[in-house]
Amino acid sequence: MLRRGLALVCLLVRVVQAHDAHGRSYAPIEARRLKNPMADAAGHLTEGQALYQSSCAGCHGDDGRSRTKLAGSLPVRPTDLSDYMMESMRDGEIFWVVTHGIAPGGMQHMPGFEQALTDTQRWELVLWVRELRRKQKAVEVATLGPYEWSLPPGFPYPKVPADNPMTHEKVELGRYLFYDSRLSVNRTQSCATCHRQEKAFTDGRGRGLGSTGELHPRGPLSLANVAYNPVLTWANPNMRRLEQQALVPMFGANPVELGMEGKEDALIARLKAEPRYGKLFRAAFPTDASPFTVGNVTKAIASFERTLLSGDSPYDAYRNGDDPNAISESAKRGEALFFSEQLECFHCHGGFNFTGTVDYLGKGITEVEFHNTGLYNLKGRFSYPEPNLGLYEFTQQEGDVGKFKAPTLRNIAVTAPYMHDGSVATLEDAIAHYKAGGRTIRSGPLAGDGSGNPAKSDFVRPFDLTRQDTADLIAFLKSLTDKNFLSDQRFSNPWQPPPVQTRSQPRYILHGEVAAVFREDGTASLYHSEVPGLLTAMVKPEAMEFQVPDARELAMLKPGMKIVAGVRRRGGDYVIEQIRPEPRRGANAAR
Amino acid sequence: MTTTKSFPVLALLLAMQAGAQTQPVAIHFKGVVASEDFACGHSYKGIGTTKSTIKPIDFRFYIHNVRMLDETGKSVPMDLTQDDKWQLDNLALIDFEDATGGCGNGTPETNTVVLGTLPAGHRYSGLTFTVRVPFEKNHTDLTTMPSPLNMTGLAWVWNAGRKFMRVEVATTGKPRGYVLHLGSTGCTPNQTKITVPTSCLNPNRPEVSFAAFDPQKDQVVVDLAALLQGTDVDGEPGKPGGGCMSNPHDPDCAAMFARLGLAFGDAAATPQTVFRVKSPVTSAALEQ
Repeated sequence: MLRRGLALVCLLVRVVQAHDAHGRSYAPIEARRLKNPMADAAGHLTEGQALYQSSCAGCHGDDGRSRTKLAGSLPVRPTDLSDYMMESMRDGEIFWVVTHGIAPGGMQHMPGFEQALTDTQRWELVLWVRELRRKQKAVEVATLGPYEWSLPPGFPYPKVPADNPMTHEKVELGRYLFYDSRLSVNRTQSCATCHRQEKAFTDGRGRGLGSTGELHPRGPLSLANVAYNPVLTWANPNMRRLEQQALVPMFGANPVELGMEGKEDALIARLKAEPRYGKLFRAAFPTDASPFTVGNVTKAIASFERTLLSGDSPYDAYRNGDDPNAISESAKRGEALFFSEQLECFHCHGGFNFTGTVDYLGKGITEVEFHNTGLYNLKGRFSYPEPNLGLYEFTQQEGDVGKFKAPTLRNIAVTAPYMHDGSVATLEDAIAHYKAGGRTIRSGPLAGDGSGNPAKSDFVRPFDLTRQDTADLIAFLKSLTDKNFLSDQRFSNPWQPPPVQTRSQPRYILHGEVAAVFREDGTASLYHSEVPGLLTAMVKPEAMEFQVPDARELAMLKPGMKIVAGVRRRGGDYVIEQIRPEPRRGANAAR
Repeated sequence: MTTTKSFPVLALLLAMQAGAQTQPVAIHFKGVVASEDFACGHSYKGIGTTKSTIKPIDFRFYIHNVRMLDETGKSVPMDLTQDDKWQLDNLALIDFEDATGGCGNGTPETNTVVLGTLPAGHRYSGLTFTVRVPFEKNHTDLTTMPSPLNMTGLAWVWNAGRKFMRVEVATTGKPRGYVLHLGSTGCTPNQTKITVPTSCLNPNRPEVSFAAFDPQKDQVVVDLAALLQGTDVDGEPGKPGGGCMSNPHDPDCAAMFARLGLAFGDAAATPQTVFRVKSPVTSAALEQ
């Protein structure tokens, strides 16, 4: 069963687990090995479609999206057969589910068609189910571009502007440009100077520092999941596209950041002079006679930024059902506090990206929010210190003074200091700020009681919090750190050679037994014991499929073999590497 | 796992596909504050027990299970048009705020009409609906649900579901906002955010019914002044924030719940006064 199904399923139905790519499913190993004996001959496909219409469409809909009236009236909506998760199901798995159904007597019951349809007919159905995904995928590619996304579990597709469809070539060019200090007037800074990967693409400073030494009034926002932001920067309701935003640090003069104002020609000349860019630009913009343009630079950078997806924290593993022990008991208490009416953090920092400002493909209604959190309350004309008047800068409405976007809390533990001007140093300070219902500054030019700010959000109210509560809340916030994202080579500096491949100690170790090997796909299914912090155990007959990128290691695997390996998540899949046979107990080192 | 279980499903399918003559129906809603139209950016005087002046911040609610009575008195469910935005199965989101004026954190889109069909060949009068998200949809993961169930602004505590109704107004005494967030409370289990609740002690689902309602001529008027009539929306001076988030021990909730026809504390439910029927003179007025 699939991830979306998991999100809806009450955990009463123990068996339905599989939330990730080649995950646990109902189908036993032998069933998963089966391949569809029907070739895609037109006759079989047509027959499959007819069978689908009569047997399946009532619940799953003509397009597989399960939006029929019947589907809507069921306690759990049937699986969306056009969803990208279907690509990770094997023919044999689909056949097995069609044959035997799901959870008889359970909340998620789907009937089996073993008696009603012949084997041939059920294989023909499998053909048509595949076709449903193919059709939807064609729509997605037409909307988003041909780029193959690696979405974190449970994440939707981001929106992509129609005039900048995503391609791998644009992403690659964008990555080179993002890390290229030629984009600054004195060649000292690139985008990555203020957006450092190890700090979730912030700079640890609180206020940005430009290439000519000018201090920005505000701090660089994290680019993690920036693809889901309908508005960009701290308080600009009009800044809606990454392509547009990139121009600001490049060409802005107040303050000077990269400092290329008036120097577009110089920038283009610099890029043309770099040997690598000829091929990269032509590959990214193959239909442009002269691809070296500022517009294409911003399109490429935006494409790269859209790939910066972070959804692989310990909290995600816990929430997705991968591993109920992925976070500590303290963090679980912190989670309850975060989502309580007492603290109300979720009101502004809710949803899969921990922010109320969010948009994605198929969202239906975009949400944009700005909030004043009571950081300042100056006497005089404005209650917030200029120039950081927040949304007021654009709306000129008094009630909008000091309103800023609530950014994502993912990776918050590595993006200190906090708030738009970095004036809150630590997570403890941030929690204390909200606990007091606003910040009091006792003396100096910024003195004032922020909790009395007239524009302060009604959700920022004082609350009680014990020391233990604070520790629990911080444990929860720390569990949102996605270490894979902070070190993923795909987002790193391509101008530097990648680090030498050392056989470093992998973070997670898996002990398991090979159930099946799928050589042509480069994967193997394993039974395995719990991997603390990452995966629950898969006990026979349940097995999980892993990618085995090393061809020699793959060749070594045989069903029944006991192995130990390093394991990690990569997008929606799990990867095992540094595989070796499980040492026999009591064996000496020398054999 | 056997075909015997699949037969009822197939039978239901066949029954639904048979005799599908329908007529289109549009139920219009209108937000008002006493005798004035509701609009973001406007001020309204004389609200609540202190006759406060209010300015809107938010005004949205879900309705479910819209039904009309046919000439035999049978209650017939309206089949809602599926639009991937406002209507999902038999649930609809009504949205009166348009993100202008003081409603900045709302959405520019509004929705004041519920579209669907009823079986043809009958005369319909009488309208009923419930202000709620049905239980099995309510406690679902925000992100993976289709619109309109994926609104972070209408989500509540993770597994306690959605805000069925979100009303927020800036008042003289509470310029930052006086709120009503209506939703189910006392949902168990509620220990973790992974376990979905199996029941809620206080469902808090206002039922609305009108004996006479003609969709061609009438509209459902939703009156903010009536909702807040028995409430002190200026609140205690010095006390931060104000309003009701459906806490069963919050005295701010008592009058609003009563107006919505909900029981609260020791008080039994009384007929709701927030929703009523209005018949504009012309059908052009209906479209406004």
